Amino acid sequence: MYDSRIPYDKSAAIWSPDGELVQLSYARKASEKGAAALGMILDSKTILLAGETLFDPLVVKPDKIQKIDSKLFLIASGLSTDSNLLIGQARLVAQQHRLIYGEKISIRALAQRLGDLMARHTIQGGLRPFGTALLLAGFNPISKEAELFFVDNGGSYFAVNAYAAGSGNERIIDALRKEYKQGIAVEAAKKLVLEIITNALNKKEPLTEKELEIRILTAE
Amino acid sequence: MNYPTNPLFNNNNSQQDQMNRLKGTTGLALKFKNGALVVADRRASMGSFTASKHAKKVHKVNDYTGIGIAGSVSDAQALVDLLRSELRLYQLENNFEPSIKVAGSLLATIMHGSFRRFQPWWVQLLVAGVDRRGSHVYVLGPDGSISDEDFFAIGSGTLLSIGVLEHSYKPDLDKEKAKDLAIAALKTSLARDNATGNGIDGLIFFKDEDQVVTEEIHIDM
Repeated sequence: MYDSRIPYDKSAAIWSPDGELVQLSYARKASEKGAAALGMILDSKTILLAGETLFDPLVVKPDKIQKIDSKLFLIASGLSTDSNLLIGQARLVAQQHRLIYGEKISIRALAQRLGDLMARHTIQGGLRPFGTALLLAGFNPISKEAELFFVDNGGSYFAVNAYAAGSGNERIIDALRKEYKQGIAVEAAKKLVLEIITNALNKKEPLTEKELEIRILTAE
Repeated sequence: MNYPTNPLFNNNNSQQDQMNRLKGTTGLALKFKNGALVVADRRASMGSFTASKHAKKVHKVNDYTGIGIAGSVSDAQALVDLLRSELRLYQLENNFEPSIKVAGSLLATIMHGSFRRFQPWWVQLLVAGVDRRGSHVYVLGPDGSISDEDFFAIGSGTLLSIGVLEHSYKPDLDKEKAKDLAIAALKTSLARDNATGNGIDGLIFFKDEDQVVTEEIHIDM
């Protein structure tokens, strides 16, 4: 006889007996296949963003760090089609906010909007979780202070001082926990980031700024 | 001979009639050195009838933003309530206080959307307050237009009161001088405009050592 029940690891909308959304764990694995991405608040006016750009001589080098609005950037790590969808949505939400409230959106509000969208995809049957995790960086529109948010595949979001997404993320985050200090100078930070990512990805040759897209954001 | 019709049972809802009901009020707002204020009279009129002698036309929507209303009382009350809730939500989502510009822009968005659907909010509004960027006065029309002003008046006494403001207003007025000017300008409308009267209410917002302090104005007549 045909069993019509859906096994719990086949749907994002069904819990496993030990309280896990197995499809969400699979989605996290998908985003860990994406190129490494890192964000770091250097001081209250400066943020460093770094994204690994995979080298293929046939492909024009894509931009890992995407602009959402003025002084507001996003790095998405994971399935590129999912990333593109979220980048488009982020830009749309940012402009809607400007139209309605006459002011730039805050990083927190944008993280919430994207997080809600991603969470809905883990609740609703027939949809699958996003294969992408996000780092959002910018400045508080009122206090002008640097802000960095991480948004997970399942849509949970939180403010961070430094964080990573994509391949080697656990090892990068571990290294950041040990090495990160607020108030680090730009050049020292660049060196540290290259070192951490080189080690985390077990590269034979040390990474240079050519293989790693680095952007320094400074408050106006 | 003309018999006055009872405005409470008047079924004529023509646009002209609506316009007549709209105008019975005078409200004004102005910026001063370290703050902004908004004042209005207390009369609510329906044609020649004084429907209320203690209408509340100045509303506080948060600790540092005040709204002055003219026009349809029900529309204005609904809009002020809606704004108050929206600003609370904005604070929670962004984790900082919405600026005066946010309050003005949001109202303009709501009002313009309705105007384009031929169901305008039948109101003129003044948005006044003090935020991190300084003091602000915005004026909104029922078509959803918004403009940033140093001082402005709304309602049927607009021309009377704005004349006084135009003559005496200076951007560096201190709080007491600004308050005196606002009351003098409103009193001109109270004296000469039929639809304005019964007293004055107002809100003054000013910066005192980085804190925004609110002072209320209540003048019985």
